[in-house]
Amino acid sequence: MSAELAELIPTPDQLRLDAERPWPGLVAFREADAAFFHGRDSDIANLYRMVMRERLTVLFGMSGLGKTSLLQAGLFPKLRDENLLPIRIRLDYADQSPPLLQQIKQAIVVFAGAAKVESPPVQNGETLWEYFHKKGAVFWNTRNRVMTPVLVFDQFEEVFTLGRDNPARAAEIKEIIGELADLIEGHCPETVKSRLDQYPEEAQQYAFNHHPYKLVFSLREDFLADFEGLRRQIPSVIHNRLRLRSMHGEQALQVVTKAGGHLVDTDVALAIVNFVAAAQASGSPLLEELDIEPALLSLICHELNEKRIQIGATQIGAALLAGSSAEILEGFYERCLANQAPELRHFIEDRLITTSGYRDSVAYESALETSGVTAEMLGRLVEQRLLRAEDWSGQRRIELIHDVLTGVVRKSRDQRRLGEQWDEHHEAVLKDWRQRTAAASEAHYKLASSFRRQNLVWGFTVVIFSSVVGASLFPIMAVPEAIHPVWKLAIISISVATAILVALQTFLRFGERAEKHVIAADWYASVCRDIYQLLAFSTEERGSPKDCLDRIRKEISKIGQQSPEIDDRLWKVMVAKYGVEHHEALLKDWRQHHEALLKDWRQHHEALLKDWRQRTAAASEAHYKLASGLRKKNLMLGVPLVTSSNVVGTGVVAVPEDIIPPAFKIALLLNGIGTAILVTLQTFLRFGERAEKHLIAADWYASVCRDIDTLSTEERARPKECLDRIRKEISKIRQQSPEIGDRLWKVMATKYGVDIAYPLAH
Amino acid sequence: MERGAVFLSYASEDRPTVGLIRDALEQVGIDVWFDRDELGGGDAWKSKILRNIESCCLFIPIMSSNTLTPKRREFRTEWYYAREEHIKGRPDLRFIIPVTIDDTNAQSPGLVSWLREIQWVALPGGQATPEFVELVRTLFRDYQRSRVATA
Repeated sequence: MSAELAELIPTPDQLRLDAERPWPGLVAFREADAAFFHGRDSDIANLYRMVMRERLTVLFGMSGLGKTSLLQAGLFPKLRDENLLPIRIRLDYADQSPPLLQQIKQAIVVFAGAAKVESPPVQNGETLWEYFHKKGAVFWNTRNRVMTPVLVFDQFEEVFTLGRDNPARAAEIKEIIGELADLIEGHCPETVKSRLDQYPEEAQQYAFNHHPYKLVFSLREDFLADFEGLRRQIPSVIHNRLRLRSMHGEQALQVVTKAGGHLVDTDVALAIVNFVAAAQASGSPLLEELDIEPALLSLICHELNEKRIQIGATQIGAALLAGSSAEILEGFYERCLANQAPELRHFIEDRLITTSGYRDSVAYESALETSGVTAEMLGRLVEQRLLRAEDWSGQRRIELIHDVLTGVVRKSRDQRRLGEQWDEHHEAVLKDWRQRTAAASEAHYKLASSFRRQNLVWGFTVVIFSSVVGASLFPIMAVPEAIHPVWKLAIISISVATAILVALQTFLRFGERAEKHVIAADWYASVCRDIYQLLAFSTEERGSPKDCLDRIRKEISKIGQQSPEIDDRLWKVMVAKYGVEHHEALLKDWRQHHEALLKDWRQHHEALLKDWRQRTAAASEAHYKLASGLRKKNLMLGVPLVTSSNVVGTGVVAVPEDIIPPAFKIALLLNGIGTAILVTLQTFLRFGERAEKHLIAADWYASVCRDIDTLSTEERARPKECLDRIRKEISKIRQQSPEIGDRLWKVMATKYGVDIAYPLAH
Repeated sequence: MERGAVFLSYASEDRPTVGLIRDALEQVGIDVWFDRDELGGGDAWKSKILRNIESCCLFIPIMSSNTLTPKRREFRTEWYYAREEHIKGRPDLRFIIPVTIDDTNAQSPGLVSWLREIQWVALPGGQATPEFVELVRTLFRDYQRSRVATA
């Protein structure tokens, strides 16, 4: 790496903690930060005791509990005080990195050099056992004291994550585990034994029973089972282990007050601890029962402190504590990436976590080869402590600063990837649906308004007529002789007309129908607003196109099923007004757009799907037509029936016998017979009921048609599953729907280009 | 005194010159015990001297014309105790290395006889040679290593 590039990455000194910034956020505490590391006194003492007691110590705990901090700022200073030399090793499994054994030897040389410790010379081809067991192989400090090296393997679980992800390293990992097993168990390696059998004099070089070194493995608790899988080779892995737990409230309070007591008063410190605890839903009011993740606590303290510095306050006040800790975590991530090129976010989310969401690292040089990612950007993120740049085996690598961030990064990545699935077709479908729902909403409002108007006119007429009848009946009954027969006939006629009007009002249900149209109009308008909002969102915010379109499609189908019909004439007017495109045009666009993606979709599957799509569209329209026809017939039969039955009723009951001419009586009789015939026909032909059934079928077919139009590429990639589902749905509709009739089906089939000889749906 | 330090035994008149030797040794990280004055006097002094000699890794009597006197001086007591420790405690180790800082040598008159039998190192004017420093460091490290091994 060039010197000028190196300058852009802050050195550890630049990030060192001080009294103004005593919390490192997500960065682990380093040895130099030991003065600010609090709340882990008993863990440090326990770990130190265990390290001194046995050759191997295992430290494990969940991510975010501060294992690295405990090692670096807690254990390491104590080890140095007792003439032990901590050598922190984090193996790098990237392809271009040096062999693992070489990395360990290199770390020994580097850490010894940094501590001014004279270390035995490293020789090529030498096993770790040989290196440490050679007589005279002693680590001397500047005061000529013997230093005992402690190989501290931090984040050892990466053997099971990154190591396994890289098959090229598999054999090497096996070898290194063997080397470590020999060291830990104090066994002379088989290769060395064979050599010594051949050259026994060389045995003098080694001290077989002296093991002047120690090892510490630190790993995440969720990999403990994998780790214990090593126990056949390394029986010691199940002994001398320290499980690091989350902090309780008292420890957390020490983190806040001991490190930054001057920056926060006790009440606010308590509030911060409770705030972090609440974020983890422990909910206990007792301080010692709280359960706190140190990484989160440190981040929140760090973020609050940064806010304090920003506003120039001397202390962190209670007012700064707003939102939730999860929001602070997400906010931290988003703030780091605010006003940055999208490529930087893509780089972090695609390269710095694995597919399954584990932390990964990238060589610095390689990161800079990423289009749109510059050294300045990376340097800034390192300064903001989102990323860490660290030299591993002589190579600078970039990674997320802490595992606690992987959840946020993964969530953002998944959301972004869902957004990336949106294409022109999905967008066009959404726009088409927006126009359709807007058109449907207006159509229903218009119909509602028209029915209300009719209801009003009808109602007003009925009220007037019935008032006239009511007002006239009393004089007719009281003084019939004073009323002229012509007036009597007129009043009787008005009575009959009123009865007819009332009956028709009941039959035609103008008010009720108006209400239903209003409900449908509101519902469509609500979906339309929903779509408008979705279109205003970024594709990331919309989520998966499949889920999104499915949700809208189901909602539209539900409204369609539960709403009254819009007649063809009005719908055509609305379609013209809102410029609704025909689905077929969309489907065509979509086919062209997805051509490349449909390689696996076999030709006949495609043909079948297209055929089904057209059949369901044809069937839907046919059912709508039939429903419409039957409703008209229902009306044609119903209106005369209501009229004639009222004439019969009022004629027989209300008209006085003396004023009925014989011809009128005959007419009434014939009307009675006609009414009886109409009633019989209505019962027999069930126009209304049949219309309802056709309408249900029409809506159902339309829903399946929309389903086919919005099939996702993923669904189409599994043709059998996809076709099975649609086929079953079509069969179900077919079984539960009335017949269309050959003549109409032929017309529809021709319109939609469906092959009649291949009756799939009909 | 730090356990395992190098004991410098000298005549108080030679203190400035011996200070040069002490500096040379301390520069390479060797603990040196030099400040005899801090122990006070009387019986307490004797027992502390004895304890320090028992716990040092190397005894270096600094020889000069000032040490050729037959008078009862503190350094003669130290020689006596060192001789005892060598014979009783560490007969096989190189424990006493006499260093001369002037013309005095093993043949000079007035010396106790056993000092004549040990190999001397000449550091005229207290100028420590690299060979001398390395020799002391090796013996110092041997002692430190044996301590770790028996710990």
